[in-house]
Amino acid sequence: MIVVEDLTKTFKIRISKNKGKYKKITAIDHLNLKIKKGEIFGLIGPNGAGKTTTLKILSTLILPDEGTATIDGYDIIKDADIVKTKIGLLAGEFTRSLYWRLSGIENLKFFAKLRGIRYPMERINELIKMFNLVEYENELVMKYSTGNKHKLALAMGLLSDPVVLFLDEPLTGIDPVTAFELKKIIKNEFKDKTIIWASHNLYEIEEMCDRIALINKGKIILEGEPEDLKKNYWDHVKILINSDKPHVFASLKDNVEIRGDIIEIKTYNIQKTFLDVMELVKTNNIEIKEIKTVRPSLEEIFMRQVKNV
Amino acid sequence: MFEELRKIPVFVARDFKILFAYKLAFSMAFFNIIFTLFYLILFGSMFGSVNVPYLNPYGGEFISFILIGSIGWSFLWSIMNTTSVSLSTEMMLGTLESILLTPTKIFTMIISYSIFGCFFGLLSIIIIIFVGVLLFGITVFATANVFTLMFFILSMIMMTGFGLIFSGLTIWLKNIGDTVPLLQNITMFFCGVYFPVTVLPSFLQPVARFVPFYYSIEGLRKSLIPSTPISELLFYVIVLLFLSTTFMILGIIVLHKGLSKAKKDGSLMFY
Repeated sequence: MIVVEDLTKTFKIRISKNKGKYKKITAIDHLNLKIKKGEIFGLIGPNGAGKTTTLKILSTLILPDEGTATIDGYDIIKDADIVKTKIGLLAGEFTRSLYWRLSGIENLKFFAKLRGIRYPMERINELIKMFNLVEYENELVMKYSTGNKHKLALAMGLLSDPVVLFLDEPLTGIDPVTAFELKKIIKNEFKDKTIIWASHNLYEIEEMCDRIALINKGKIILEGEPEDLKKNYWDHVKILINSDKPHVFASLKDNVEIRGDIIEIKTYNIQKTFLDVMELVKTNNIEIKEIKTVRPSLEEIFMRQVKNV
Repeated sequence: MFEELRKIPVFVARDFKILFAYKLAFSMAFFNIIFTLFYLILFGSMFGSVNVPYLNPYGGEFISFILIGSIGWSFLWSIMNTTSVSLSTEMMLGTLESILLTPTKIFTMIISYSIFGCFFGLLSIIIIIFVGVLLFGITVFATANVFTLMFFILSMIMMTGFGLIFSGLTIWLKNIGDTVPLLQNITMFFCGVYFPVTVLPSFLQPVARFVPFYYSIEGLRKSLIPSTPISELLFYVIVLLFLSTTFMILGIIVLHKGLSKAKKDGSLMFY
């Protein structure tokens, strides 16, 4: 569905007030991606990693320096006009994509007609219902809440029922209730769509995406399903124990941290550590109130990859 | 092609909706037109009884001279101002990105702005004629004919070409500041808007021949004088036909250059 091959983009930035002193920064560095039909693909990375640039190139708004990309078999440069009919983009500051002096329905009608939809009312009504905007449809957008502006912007991106949707920080700046509502709509209503979800919020990416890629300095560092990444990129497990004699566990060879009654043991060999813990419990007559293992979070994996911590 | 043409009324309708949404701004624009008309008539009346030999080729009446110049001039520039301002406003608001995400050619967008500017200009002319006739008994456009219409249309195409040039520059350089008003002020001097070019010192008079807008104003004036020979009117038609074609082609080139540079820089949506 989406194939990206060796996509590269550099920008010139001025490094001095003097004329002609520029530095080239690589926003995307030989990026390769293959995203299947119907997949929600998470693109995660710190600010300036190249997420937005990637989405804008795929949306035909920026030209790449090198490489190619196709969407549903169409080249983003040669077939830009066809690609535009296949995609919906919700970029950065959603609310800026709307005319605040027009009503919600006028905005949708305007953009529907630009998308070549001659009789757009059926689709508009469908979207307005989907996003719970019925009671605000004739209200000027300037009077909408931020959450409703987000919903309207998302509805706008779906006017032509695109097969591919690019969501750039789609839940940024909205309240948890609206975020929950939008996530529910995306999960339930967009099952047939291929989505690239760019964000720096690991929790929403982990919750929403089938597959994820960590991008940093324009390069993909990790790629895979969240569970596989956790398995493959994390070599230790944490054991948390709530006990009446926490100080006894300090004798373990593994990394041990004691906070009140809680003991946190970082181990690279869980079987051996468990046996050691059992031995300690038996010989010191320790009462164990709770014992559990903690799986690594994506955040920890990504922090380690990005910051090398 | 037809798909693109269908989008033009969509843009124009949107611009009118937004224009009417700012009620005070719209009514002030209307009052400004009336006040300008009043001011011009007052100004013209001051010299009304004085015989100005320079005005003889134009019928000798100063009020008519100044009104035609002013109406033609504001019509021309309302097209270009609207085009230039609309694009930069779209960039500032952030809506340009939403439009460019649809399969709409930027050319269609700019042409739509020009047409809206043209409608707005025509609205001003209608108000001036209506108020002029009703309140002041001014009938300068009573002699309008097919050539008058041709000069309006050709000038509109020429100004759309300029609009494309300035749009391309806006996309490229982002803020072109007062370039348009500056050009307007410089060229007004040579176009015979408020006084005939023959009033200028003899060494400055040839400059007018190199200012494209001169031919619009002069042609418009001549078309309203019934005694103007058709051959003279045809001369202005041919010149304006050449200028409108040239500036449209130039406009398309500059717009495409600006667009492809901005797409490479990634600065298309920023202002």
